Order: sequence, then C-alpha cells, then structure tokens
Amino acid sequence: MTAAAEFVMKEGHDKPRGLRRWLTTTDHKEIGLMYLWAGFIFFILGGISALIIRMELWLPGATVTDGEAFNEFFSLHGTTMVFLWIMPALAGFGNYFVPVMIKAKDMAFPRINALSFWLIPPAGILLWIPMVLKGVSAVNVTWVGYAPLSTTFDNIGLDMWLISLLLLGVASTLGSINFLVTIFKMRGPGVHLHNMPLFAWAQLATSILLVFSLPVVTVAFIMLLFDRNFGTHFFTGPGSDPILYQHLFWFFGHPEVYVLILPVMGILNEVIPKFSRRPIFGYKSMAYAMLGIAIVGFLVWAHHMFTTGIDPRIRAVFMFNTMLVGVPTGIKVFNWLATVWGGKIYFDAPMKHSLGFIWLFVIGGITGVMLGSIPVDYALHDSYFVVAHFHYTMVGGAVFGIFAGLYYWYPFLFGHRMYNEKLADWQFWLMFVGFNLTFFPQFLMGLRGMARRVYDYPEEFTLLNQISTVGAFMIAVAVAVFMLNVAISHFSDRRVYADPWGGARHAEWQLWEEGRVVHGEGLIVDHEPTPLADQYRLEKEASA
Amino acid sequence: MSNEHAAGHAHPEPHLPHGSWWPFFLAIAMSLVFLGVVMGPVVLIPGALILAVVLVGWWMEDFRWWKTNTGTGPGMARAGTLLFISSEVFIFGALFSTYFTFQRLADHWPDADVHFPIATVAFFTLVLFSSSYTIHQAEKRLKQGDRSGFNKWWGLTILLGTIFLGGQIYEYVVLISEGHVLGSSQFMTTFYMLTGTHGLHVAGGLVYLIVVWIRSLKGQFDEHRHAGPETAAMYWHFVDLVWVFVFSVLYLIPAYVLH
Repeated sequence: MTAAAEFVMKEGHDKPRGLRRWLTTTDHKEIGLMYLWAGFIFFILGGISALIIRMELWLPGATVTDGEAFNEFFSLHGTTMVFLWIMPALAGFGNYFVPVMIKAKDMAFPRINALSFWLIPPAGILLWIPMVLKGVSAVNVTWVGYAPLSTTFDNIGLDMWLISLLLLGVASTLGSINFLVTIFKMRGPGVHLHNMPLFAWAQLATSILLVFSLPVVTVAFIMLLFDRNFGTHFFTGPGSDPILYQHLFWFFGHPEVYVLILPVMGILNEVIPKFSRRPIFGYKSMAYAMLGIAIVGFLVWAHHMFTTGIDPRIRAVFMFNTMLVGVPTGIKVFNWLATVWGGKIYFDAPMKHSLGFIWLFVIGGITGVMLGSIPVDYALHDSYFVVAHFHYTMVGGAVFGIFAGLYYWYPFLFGHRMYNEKLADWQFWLMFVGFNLTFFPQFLMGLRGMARRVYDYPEEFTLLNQISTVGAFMIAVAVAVFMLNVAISHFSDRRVYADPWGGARHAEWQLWEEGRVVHGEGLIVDHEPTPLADQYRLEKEASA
Repeated sequence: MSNEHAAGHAHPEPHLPHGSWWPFFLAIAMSLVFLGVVMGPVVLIPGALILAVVLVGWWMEDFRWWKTNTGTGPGMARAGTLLFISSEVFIFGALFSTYFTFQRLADHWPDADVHFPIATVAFFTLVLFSSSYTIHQAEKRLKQGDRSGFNKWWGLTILLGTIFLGGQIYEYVVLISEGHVLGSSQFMTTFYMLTGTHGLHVAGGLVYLIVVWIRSLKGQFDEHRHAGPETAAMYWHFVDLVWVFVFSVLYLIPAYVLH
C-alpha cells in the first residue's frame, strides 16, 4: 500500500467529524493547525488596526480618527500582534512539528495542550469586544500598560484587556511546561538532546523563557487589576512604586521578545540547510547560542527603563548585558551564512523568506544594540526609531520567519496541497519592499525626533509618513496574495505525497513520506530513521 | 518501545487519549471566573459553578483513563509538576520583591497598630508542617503496597490542611473586624497578597488531595501506579516550604527584628 492510500484510509478511521472533531481534539497536529488559523485571524485584525494607524498618519492632525481612537488602535495592534498572532502562530508550529521531529507520539499532556489553545479565543474576544460595545473603549494604554496611566482610566475595557492577558499567560505557561516535558521525556528511538532537530532546541529555549518570566508579569497584571478595582496602591498613591510595575513587566516583556524570535530562528535552522543542500554549520553552537540568548535574555530587562532615573550603576550593568545578547545572536547569523556559503542554493519561497529574515533581522538587531547604549537611548527613547527597530525584529524577523515556515511545511498544514510558486514570489517581493518602505522611513523620522504613540506630527514629517503608509498597504496586498494562494491551492487537484524540496530528508519529512504523520492519530515510530548527518553525507556522495 | 519491556509489566505502554470536551469547557469556565472577579457575582457565581462541573468532569475522565490505561505514561506528571513548581517560585518571588520594595520605601514598617497573635499563628504553622510529615508517610505506605495505610495518612493530611486553612480564614476575620483591610496600608496590602496567594495554593492543593483521596477510596493507585499521589505530595511540600518564608518574613521578622 502506498503512503498516500494509507493516509486516506487512516483519515476515515472512526473519529468524530465536523465541528465536534475540532472542539474535542487532543491531537497535537490538529491543535497546532487551530493555533495557526486562530493566529492568522488575529493577524488580519491586528493588520487592519495597523492600516487605520497608517491612514491616520497620512496627514498631520486628526483626520481619519481622533487621538482617543488612535490610542485604542495602536494598543490593540500591539497586544494582538504579540500575544494573538506571533505567539499562537509559533506555538502552532511547535505543537505540530516538535513531537514529530523528536518522534514522540504526542505532547506530554494532550488535554492540557488543548486547554492552552482554547484559552486563546476567549482571550481574543475579551480584548476586541469593547470595540463593538457601546460606552466601553478598548485598551488605550499601549501594550505595556504603564501605571499611573493604566490606573487612571475607569474603563472596563482595560480590565478586560488585563483578563485577556492573564488568560493568555496561563495558556502559555501550561503550553511551555508541556513543551519542556515533551522534549525531555517523550523523545522516541534514537533521538537525543544532541541530535534532535534545532527547531526543537528553539522551542526548548523559548519554553524556559516563558516558564520563568510569565509568572512575574502575571503578578504585575493582578496587582494592576487590584489597583483598578479593589482599592490597593501598588503602583500609584502614597508608598507605592510605579517603577516596580515596569520592572515586573519588563522582567517578562524582554524575554517575551526572544520568545517571539527564537522559534523563528528554529524555523531558519531547518530551512537554510535544506535549501543550501548542506548540513547546518555548527549544530552545537546553534543549540547553545539559543540557550544563551534565553539565559542572557533574563538579565537585560531594565534597558527599557534607562530614562526612568534608575541607579546609573544598574543601568551600566544592563547596558553591558544587552550588548552581550549580540554575541549568541551573532553566532547564529554567522552560522547561517556559513551554512549557505558554498552551498547549492535553491531560492524557493521558504528560502527567500529566510534570507529576507537574515537581512532584516540584522538591521533590527544592530539598531537594538544601538538603543541598548545608554546615551543613544536617552536621545531616541519613545521616538519612531524604537518603533522601526522592533518592527524590523518582529515583522522583518518573526513574521518573515512564520511565512518561511508556512511555505516550507505547506503540504503538512494544508492537507497535501502545494502553493503556487509565482504567487509566493509576488507575495515575498511585495512584502519585502513594502516592509522596508514602511519601516525604514521610521528610522529617519525617529532620528529627527518624531514621537511614537501620537496621532499628530509636525508638517516636515509628512512625506516620510506617506511613504510609510504606502508601504503598509503593500504589506496588506502581500498578505492578500498569500490568502489567494491558499484559496487557489485548496481548490486545485494537485496533491503532494513526497518531500517537494529534495535534498536531505529531515525527520518530519521522512516520517510524513512514510505516512506516519496522520491528523488525529498518535505518531508510531518503531524504527530508527536515517540520522540527518548521514543523509547529507549520502546526498553529497550522490551528487559528487 | 523497548524500555518498557525492561521495566517489567508494571507499566504497560499506555494508549493515547482520543478527544475530550473538557479542555474546551474549562477554557470557557476559567474565562468566566477571571471576568467575574471584576464584573461581580453575576458573572462570578455562574462561572464558578461551571468551573466546578467541568473540573469534576475532567477528573472523572482521569478516573476512567486510569482504568483503561489512557495517557502518555508515568513520569510526565512528575516532570510537569516540578516545572510548574519552579514557575510558581517566580510568582512568590515577584510578591516578595514587592513586599521588600514597599518596606524600603516606607517610613514605618510594619504598621504600628498591627499585632499578630504569633503563638496562634505558630500553632497553625506547626499543623501545616506536620501535614508534610503525614503526606510523606502516606506516600511511603502506598509505595509499600499498604493502601489502607495510605488512605488513613492521606485523610489525616487533608484534615491538617483544612485546619490550617480554617486558621487562616479566622485570622482574616479578626483582622478585618479590627479594620485592617486590603487597602489599609502598603503593609496590609502585601500581607494579604502574600498570605492570600499562599492560602489559594493551600486551597487548590486541598481540592487535589481530596480528588486523589476519593480515587484511592474507589480503588485506584497502588505500588506501581502512583503518579497522582506523588505529584500531589510534591506540590504539597512546596506549599509548605513557601509558608516557611511567608511566616518568617511577615510574622517573625516584623515581630522580633523590626519592632
């Protein structure tokens, strides 16, 4: 029986169908898919709010919205993109592929895995529903919610935002514990920590970050909730400390940005060797660089607070640690380049996005080191330079990486279908050019002193803002092209049952070709598949 | 696959669960309870009721799955509990940081008019610590195959935990009647946050101890399969350990060092 026929047969196995299948599933692959779909829906919502922000900034002064609504849109945009798009999308990849890659039959706690996912829809609804409720405004205190601003407004929408974040915190904590136990305890035959795919290492480092940083911000959010509702004075009032909120928030907030980027680096670690036809350069240094980023990531949080007047000695330590993160990150970038170097490069969509990632993420990273320097931060704090910097890491980095993953694993995620390379090409170039048009001018505006989080700006910035807005709409078109690609592939008859990329077959592709990756069924591996290193050796011998 | 043969027939390879409604409903129940905290009893009470029903459903599923050997295998629960506990350390870490920050900022610490009945609290502390001993005895009995001994010691642990929690509630009632409420002062705020968080952990732990007890009385757990009681005990020891710090920082140091 062919793998394909076997797949079709197993699909018909006595499983619940329709809605019930999705509401009750505990299968890591199906949960992974739901994460990705839910994430994408919120990507659209967050994207629409970004477009409204950019339209408002087309001209100085209140035009499309007013200042009040502008505050809501950019706060919603930030919260949504971080917590409801990038995180769920990456958790989706992790859920789907980590167990397969390490040959585990499922995640360690299948029901808790489903719970982690199901907390996302109510959290998203709580965040967004104030937009349609009369007399309630949505979160309008930015995604960080600094006190005393966040304790000033008597608005139930803000409490709903906090509850939404608390729910997502519970979801991610449980999810990370699940990943760690899966990686440490569920590895299948022949899989060790030091030969498992680097994507699993990325998920390991990410989960460590989340398990130890989320509880701290959970406490901060609960205190904020108490300040707002139960008459406590944690962050405002006599004997309170508003800076304490910032410490507690950024103790989570900074690890969080590595949470958004490490799994994406994991995707690159899979894609780049595959499309360069070479094994990854420096496997161990890659794995430990990610662990290093995670560990140093815990020690840099106060660089978000250089301008709050904290002790200069503390500032100096945090500046040093911040620069230190550049080292493991640099190791990763150089290892990727060394992997590509001398390789036989295939420019399919996943590879284009990965190379795009390296280019953009390096710009984002280096501007991050610039901002980590205290005097530069003094000049650029709360300016558009900061906005440009983190969008280069979060969009240029994380979102490009997510698209690389979506294209790379397309036949897994979309039921053996394949995307159209030409449309994917259009999508990439529209997004790459649009992205740079949107955010590069923001570096220039920031250097000239344009303040972030304000709906208005001096006339002199009009042209740069308009370029930025045009770029934003190009990104929107790129995303629409991607959706069109998915729709077309859904209705086409073409099906793929073999690894479409050729070259060394990484673990998940090998198992997939054998027909073992079946939705709703646990993975059963009763043999030791060919180690990756041997595959690259065999391939090299064959091509020589 | 081969290692389970080596381990003997104590742990036959469990089979994977297929589908459950409870995660979906638990997410809804949790959202309602969280929302109820700010929206008031109209949301909180139905939310709590749904939560109770869902948890009973979840644990009854555990009960059935134990019999059919459904799950991902032993060892997962142990590792998961250890990680959960290490995450919890950071919750208490953040709360203690807040306490010490406020102490540093305050002119007088603690409030001059707050006097805790140290002897009474010390008695309840002793009760809680002895529950760590009894739960250890229970676990030991179970691993020796003495299930009735396990049930007795486990029941005693639940009793001791309940007495401690009762003492805590009594202390709250006295403090509130004296006018020391959550928002009275920075000291009282952090006092209630720390003891309250700890108390919630004791309460949650007790619920889980009771679930384990009921399952055991109905014939589950033995010397080979004891992940449930084992993880419950790990968690219970942790909650006890946290009390060492809470008791020292909130009661002993203010009473004997700062005054």
